[in-house]
Amino acid sequence: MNEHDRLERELQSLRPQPPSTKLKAKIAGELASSPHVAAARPNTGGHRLWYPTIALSIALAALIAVSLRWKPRPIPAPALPQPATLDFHVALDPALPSWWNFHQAAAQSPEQFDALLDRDSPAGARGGNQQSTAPRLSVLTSINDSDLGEL
Amino acid sequence: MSGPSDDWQTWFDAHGAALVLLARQMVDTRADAEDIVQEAFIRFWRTRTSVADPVAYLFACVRRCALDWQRSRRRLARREEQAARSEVAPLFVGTIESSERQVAIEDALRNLPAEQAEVVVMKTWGELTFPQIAAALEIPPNTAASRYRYAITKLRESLAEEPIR
Repeated sequence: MNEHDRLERELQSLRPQPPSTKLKAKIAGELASSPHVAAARPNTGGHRLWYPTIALSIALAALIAVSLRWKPRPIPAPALPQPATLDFHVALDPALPSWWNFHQAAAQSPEQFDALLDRDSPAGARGGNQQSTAPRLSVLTSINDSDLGEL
Repeated sequence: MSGPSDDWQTWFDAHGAALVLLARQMVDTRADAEDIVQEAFIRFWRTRTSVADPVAYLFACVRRCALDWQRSRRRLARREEQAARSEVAPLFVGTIESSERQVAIEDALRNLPAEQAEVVVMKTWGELTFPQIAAALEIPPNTAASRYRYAITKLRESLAEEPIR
């Protein structure tokens, strides 16, 4: 047995002075005056550890579920311009004026050009929508002050 | 006592003497030490169910209250402090034939650095393990063990002239 062990045993053999009865009485009085202190509170230490663990687990599960379900949305391809459809029945109708007819009418006078346009326009006349078509055609075929005034 | 008990007197009877002795290492008079233990024990009893190791927590409460007391005492600088320093009340229950040796041990214990004395008190008379001491002091267990070894070495050197029984 070395010196350390002997000294430790000697120290252990000493008994500290016990607390006074006055101290015990004061503690008893203080605990009695506040009964809520004497009652043991429920052990919430474990709960405090569990709450963040459960919350983290739920958040992690939600994150995994979202990442598994999520797929990148396909980027729509830009719409290619469709070629204009040509109505061959209209384009090849021999009854309609040709480019040469319009050229000749325009060379003669604007009035004849207008008359040619009016004759074969889909509306067939200036009557119904005269307000909308007449100025446009006039501008295309001639420039005069009255037409500019209407615009 | 390591088992839980809802009877405060059981706790106090088991640890009261060691708690007062621990407080005595940090204050000068027995009356002050008992005031500290009273406050610490009430605080411990309110909150003991929320800690993993109530015994270590009880000693930690006493130590914390003693440190608070020291700080407030320094601020107040009360006049009776000087008189209190001269008080030499026995720390241990002794017999007449062992009184000289006991006084020598008490003196050696008082001359230890505070951080070593509190470890010796907790280990020897509080019967705490080094992990419990470490928890109470918020230090690593190895540090607690080394402080204890240094303290025993110093005590042995201080008591070298005294015969060891």
